[in-house]
Amino acid sequence: MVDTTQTADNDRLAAEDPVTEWVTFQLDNEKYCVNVMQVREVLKYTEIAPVPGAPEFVLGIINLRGNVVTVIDTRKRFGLAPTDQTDASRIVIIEARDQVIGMLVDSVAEVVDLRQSEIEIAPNVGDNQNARYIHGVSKRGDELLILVDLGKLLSVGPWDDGQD
Amino acid sequence: MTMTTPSPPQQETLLDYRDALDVYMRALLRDETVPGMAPEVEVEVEAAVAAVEPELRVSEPVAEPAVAPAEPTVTTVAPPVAPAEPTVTTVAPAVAPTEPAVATAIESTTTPERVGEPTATERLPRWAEGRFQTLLFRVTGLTLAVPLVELSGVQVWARDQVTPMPGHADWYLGLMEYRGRQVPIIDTALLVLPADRRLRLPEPEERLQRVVFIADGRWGLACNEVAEVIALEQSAVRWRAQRSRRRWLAGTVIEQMCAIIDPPAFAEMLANGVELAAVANAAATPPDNQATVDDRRHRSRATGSRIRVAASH
Repeated sequence: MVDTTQTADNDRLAAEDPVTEWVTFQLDNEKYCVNVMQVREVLKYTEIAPVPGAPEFVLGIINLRGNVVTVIDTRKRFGLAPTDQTDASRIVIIEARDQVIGMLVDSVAEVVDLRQSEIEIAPNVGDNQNARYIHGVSKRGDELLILVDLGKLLSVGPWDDGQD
Repeated sequence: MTMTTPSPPQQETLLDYRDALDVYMRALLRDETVPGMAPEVEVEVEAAVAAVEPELRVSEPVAEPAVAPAEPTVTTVAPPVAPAEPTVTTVAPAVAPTEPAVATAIESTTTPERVGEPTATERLPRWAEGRFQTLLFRVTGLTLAVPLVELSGVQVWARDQVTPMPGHADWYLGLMEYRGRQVPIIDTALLVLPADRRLRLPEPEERLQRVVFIADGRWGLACNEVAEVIALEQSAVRWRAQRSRRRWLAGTVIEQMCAIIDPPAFAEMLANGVELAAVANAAATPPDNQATVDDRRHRSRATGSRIRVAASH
């Protein structure tokens, strides 16, 4: 009986404050994360074939088990200074808006559980549509996780221009 | 051969740094100010439109892309005067630290589009009653004053406590925790200083020391230093009559050579992006000699638009 009550409480809590899983990755000194449901896999850095005429934040393409996947320079897409690849560099293969994309990041850290109540929606600053791909932030210990909305990342700004 | 020596034109670039700021302050004073208190407008629609329209014609078109023709319904709600609706006058005298512009807009109009429209803040701000206290703070030589009733707090600037947000303009430094929530921190100098002075600014780490929080702690204005608190008489301020641009500037005080900011209008401007596009455009189309500045910003924390500019060099 007690177990049933506790289960009901847990279900209610989960409904009111759902938990989502996020893959965290590092760029510069900041930690970003994307919803784990949109992450297919994480690859070690591999050679990327450049594509002439592509948007400048597109590094090129890789062959992923017979499929061609576009890899973007996440640093450049986010407006960060470029850096050289290291042993920790990873390509995060994500799927959003019916596209499979690789994101080159400095490193991939972990998968974290975040309750909805722990996510603080990022305030609007200015009218910059290009920056709307930041879904929110979440404080974990001393660090602040920046939650990236991949759907918007691939639908606004230069990426969208490149598609159209 | 007679040498006529016409007096050389006063170019700001040849002036001493402080003189240049004086010129800037004088420019602010010339710009849309009225001597003494703001005129007690009768708040009739015709008068308000007549006051706004000439401004729209003569001002720089780039600086105010979003300014729409005056909405008669909005201009009827100046707080300090008796508007057409008698019910508003009972509300007006109260000093409301939180978003008077929003409140009046709700009372005055059903039009959903508020961005760029002249609001009640174009009149005397609500906090500017009689004698009021302001905190002076300095932004690279320019002294700004924030009314104490609109001041939420002051905190020490610490780069490592600010998390930069990608994809934003360079005046947006990032998020900083304040009173348990993440608050956007603004590099005030990049917004309020004239374009040519923005290009010569040192790195944020070299000039920023304090953050002034306004609008119920929802925005932080990073500045060089916080100075003293002074009391100002309403009549000592040259209030701006119309604020179709530089909406954050409520007025200027000659004695202290300071500019009084209107925090609610500043917050609204920051949130909605009014006027900010002009700042971004100015930053995205630099003169040739700006390459080193861009390169430097690129190394530290650049925006997407700056990246494109720098990459083309």
